[in-house]
Amino acid sequence: MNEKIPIKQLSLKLAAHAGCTDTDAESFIKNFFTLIAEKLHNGDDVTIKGLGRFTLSGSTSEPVVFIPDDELANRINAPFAIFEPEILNDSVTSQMLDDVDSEAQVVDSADESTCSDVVENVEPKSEAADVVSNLEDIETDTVKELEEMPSMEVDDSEVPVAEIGEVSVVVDDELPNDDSTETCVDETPLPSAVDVQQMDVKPVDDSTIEENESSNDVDKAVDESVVVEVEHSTTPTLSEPPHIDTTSLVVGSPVIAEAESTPVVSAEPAIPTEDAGNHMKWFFLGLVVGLAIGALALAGYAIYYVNS
Amino acid sequence: MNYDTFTDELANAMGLESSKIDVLTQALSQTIEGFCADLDAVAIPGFGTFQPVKTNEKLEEDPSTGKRILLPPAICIEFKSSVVLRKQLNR
Repeated sequence: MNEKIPIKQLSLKLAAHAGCTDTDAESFIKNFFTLIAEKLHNGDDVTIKGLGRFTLSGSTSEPVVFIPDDELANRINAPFAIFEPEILNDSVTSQMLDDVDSEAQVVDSADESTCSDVVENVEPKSEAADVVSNLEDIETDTVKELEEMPSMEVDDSEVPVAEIGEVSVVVDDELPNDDSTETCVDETPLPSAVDVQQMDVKPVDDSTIEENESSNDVDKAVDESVVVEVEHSTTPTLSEPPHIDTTSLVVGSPVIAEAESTPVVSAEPAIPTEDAGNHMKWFFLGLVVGLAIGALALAGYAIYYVNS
Repeated sequence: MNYDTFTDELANAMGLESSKIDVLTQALSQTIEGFCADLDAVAIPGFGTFQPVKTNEKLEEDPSTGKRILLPPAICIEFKSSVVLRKQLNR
């Protein structure tokens, strides 16, 4: 649209339309309009069926007048053929027409804003937000179940990760053969079943898994196994799953093994503690880098001051 | 000059049959029409440019009756002759 078509492109289109070669089409176009120019130079008007009529105007600024053929004009104006000239009533004022124009503009802008809203609504939620919300739901469910367990004395509604892990381990150590504890652990929902339904997106960052790999703590190791299981259940195409040494998890109690198989107790709160560790680590790293830069700047300024 | 005479002369100049020239002429007209329908200008070197011009709907007043008429949009093809053609014709 609003482009200037050169003769080369015109000849290509003509060749495709007429079924001849490009050179023949270009040669025909040149001969065609050269002959028209000659006839006009001789003072003749030229009528081309389907194209229009070329006449001389007598003006030096624009000596040729082109009158398109009626069929050509009708075909070009076919999109507007449904409109006809309308005689407006005297009651229609220019103010009313301006109002109609402004309303049309408002409608156009409203359509654009609606489209943008639709686009915003179509955009998926952030994966991290979904993961966090799902983890929060699972955490509250887990805490409630912990509170319902008679053998475990959990008073706080929000139990940190380490405390949950310690409680589970301590209970298991004290009551290794207690059936109630085992049944309580067994009754806890499987994370894979919950997460597969709620965590359709990427559950955990790779950095989190890497952080988990470096941990040797028993509680964190159990958490890692859960995180890895969650990731396997949701993203089975992971090329290199993190390797977890499950032998370090075995303390000697059979209940711990069951806790590993059903690691809901310490699965969800693992990420907040890891995030906190990451934040502290990055905070201290940034602090050290900042102090180093400041010291270098101060030293440079001192050297400059001494030399000057 | 009418169309048949033109096609005959062009056929003689190009060494083709008049029917073939007629087919090519109609194809050329339709090709130019297609470009102009897309509001693209077709430039012929040494001859001129077929420039489509779109006019939006507008109000016009009939001077005799004073009635206002709302005219629909339209596309008209304007031809601008090239400098070569103008010089050729003004000689």
